[in-house]
Amino acid sequence: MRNTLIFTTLFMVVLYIGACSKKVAILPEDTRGKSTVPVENTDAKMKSPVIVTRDKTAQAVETQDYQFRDIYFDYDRYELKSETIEILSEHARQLKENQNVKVLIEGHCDEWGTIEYNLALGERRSNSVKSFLVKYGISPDRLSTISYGKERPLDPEHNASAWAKNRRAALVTGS
Amino acid sequence: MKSTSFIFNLLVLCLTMLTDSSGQNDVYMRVQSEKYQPVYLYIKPLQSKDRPELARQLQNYIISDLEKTRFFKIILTPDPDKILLNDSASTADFGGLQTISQAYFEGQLEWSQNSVALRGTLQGLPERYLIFTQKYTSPQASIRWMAHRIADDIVLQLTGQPGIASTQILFINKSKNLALMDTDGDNIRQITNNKSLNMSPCWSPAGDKVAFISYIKNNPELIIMNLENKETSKLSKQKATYSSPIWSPDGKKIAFTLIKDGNSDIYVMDNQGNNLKRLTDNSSIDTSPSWSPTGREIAFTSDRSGSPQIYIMDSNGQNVHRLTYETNYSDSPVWSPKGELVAFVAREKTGFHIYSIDVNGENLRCLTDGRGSNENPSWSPDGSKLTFASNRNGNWNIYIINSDGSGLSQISTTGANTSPKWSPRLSREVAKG
Repeated sequence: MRNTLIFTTLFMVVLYIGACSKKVAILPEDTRGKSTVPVENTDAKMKSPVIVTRDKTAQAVETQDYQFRDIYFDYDRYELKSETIEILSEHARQLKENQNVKVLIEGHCDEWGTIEYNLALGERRSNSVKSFLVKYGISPDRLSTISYGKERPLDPEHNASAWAKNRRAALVTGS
Repeated sequence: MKSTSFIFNLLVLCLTMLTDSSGQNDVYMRVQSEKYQPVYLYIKPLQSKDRPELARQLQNYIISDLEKTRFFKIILTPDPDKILLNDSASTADFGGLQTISQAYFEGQLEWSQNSVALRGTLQGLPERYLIFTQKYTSPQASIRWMAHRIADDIVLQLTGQPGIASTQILFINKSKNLALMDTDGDNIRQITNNKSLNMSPCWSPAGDKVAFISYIKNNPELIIMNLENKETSKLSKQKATYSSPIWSPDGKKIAFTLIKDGNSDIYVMDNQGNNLKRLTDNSSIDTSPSWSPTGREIAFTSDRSGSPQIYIMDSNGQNVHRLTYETNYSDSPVWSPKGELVAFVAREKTGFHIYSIDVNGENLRCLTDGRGSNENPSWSPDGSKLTFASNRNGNWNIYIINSDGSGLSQISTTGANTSPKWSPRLSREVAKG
C-alpha cells in the first residue's frame, strides 16, 4: 500500500516534469504604454555587427574606442524609450565630436510579424534613431538608414531574450 | 455582439448551401458542396515488359496528380471491355457545363535508349468515343514531369480547364536566393546567385518574368528578371526602400510598397518603372498589396486602426474599406484567382494561421491549425489550393493545402525555405525551366 503510494507519487512527478518540458514559443507580452528595460543587455559591450557589403568604401571604423551600442525597442514598437535615449544621446555627443564619421542606421525586428510588415517596422526604428540624431544637431547628410526587417537577427534563438536583442537599431560607422 | 454576428453568418452560409443560390459556379467550390459528382475515370494499368518498374512509377505519378485535383474517382481497369459503368453518375457539372461523367484512359509505352514515349488515349464511356489522343515523349529521368503534362491534359479534357500539376512554385531558399520547384517539391533549382539578400518574389501574369527585392547594392531595390535568359533590370528609381511588388493581372502595372523616412505606403507604376502613382497617404504602415483578378481593386495591410488589418481599395486608391474585424492582427492578403475570397494570415499565440474570408467580409474560415507559424500564402491559379511557408516542423519549409483547409502536405524539406508564390499556368517552355 505504502509502495503503491510512493510509486504513484513518483509517476505523477515524472508526468508533471514531462508536461513542463514541452516548450512552445508564445507571443511576447504586449507592453504598450509600459516602460520596460531590455532583457539581458549582455551584448552591450559587443561591437555593432558589420554588414557584409560590396561597397568597399563603407568599412566599419571605430571612433577611437567608442562602442556604438544597439538601441532596443519594445515588441511591435518603434518609439525611443527613456533608457535608450540616454544611450543615443551619448552616441550623438560622439558624432558631434567626430565630424568626419558617417553612420548607417540599420533597423531590425524580432521574428514576430510578416516579412513585409517587419521591413516597414525596421525602417521606422532606424528612422526614429535618425530623427533623434538630426534633432540633436547631427547633419542628415551623415546619416543613412536601411531596414533588414526580420531577415538578419542577431540572435537566432526563439525565446524572449533573443527577441529582445533582435528588436534593435544598429549604428554602423564609416567615414 | 461578435457571437451573434457569427451565428448570423453561419445561418446565411447554411441557407446559401441549401438553396444553392450562389452565382459562383466555380469548379473548386463544387468540390466542396455535397452535390458534387466526380468524374469516374477508368485507367488501364501502364504496362511494360522491358521496364515494368518505370511504367508503374509513371502510372503512380499520373494518378497522384489526378487525385490531388479531387475531381476524379479513379478505377484501375485492366480490361476496358469489362468496365462496369456506374449507374448513379449522370453528368458531371463543372461550372454549369454538362460534361463527360465517365471516361477511360490508356497509355501505350515505347522505350528507346534514354527516352520514353507514351501514346495516351482518352475515351468517353460507354461508347468509347475518342476525346483526345496525344503522344508524349520524355527523357527517362524526367518521367515525373511527363506525368504532370499528361495529368493536366486529362484534366483539361474532362473539366474544361487545364490542370495545375505542371505549374511551378517560386520561393526564397536558405541562401536567400530565388528558387523554383515543381508543385510536388521535385526539380528544385536556384535562379539567382547574387550573394545578397533577396526577398518578396512574384510572378508576371504570363509567367515569363519575376520581380523581387534585392539588397545587391546594400539597399533594397526592385528587380525584374526574365526567366528565359535571366536578364535583370532595376525598376526602383527612388531613393527609398522598395517592398512587396505585385504585377497587375493585365501585366501593365506593378503595385508595391515604398518606405521613405519611416513611412510605408502603397504605390503603383507601369511595368517599365515609370508613371509612379501614390495610392495610400497616411502615417500608418500600409504594405503587402494584392490585386483583384479584375485589376479594379487592391487588398492591402494597414495598421491605421492600431494593429495590422486587411483593407480593400479601388486601384486608384479611392474607397478604402476594412475587410477584417474578427481577427486581432491580420496581414499578407492574397486575392483568390476567381475573385470571391481573400486569404490572409492572422496572428495567434504561437504564430500566424492562414485564413480565408469572402470579399464581402463574411464567412471567415481558419485553414491551418497546430504548432508554429504559417506565413505568406499564395493561391494556385485555379483557386483550388494555397501554398505557404511554415515552421511547424522546426525549419521553415513550403506546404500546400486545399482551399477548404484539408489535405495539408509538406513539399520542401531543405529549409529554410520561405515566401512561396504559385505560378500562373505556364507555357511548356517556361515551365521546363
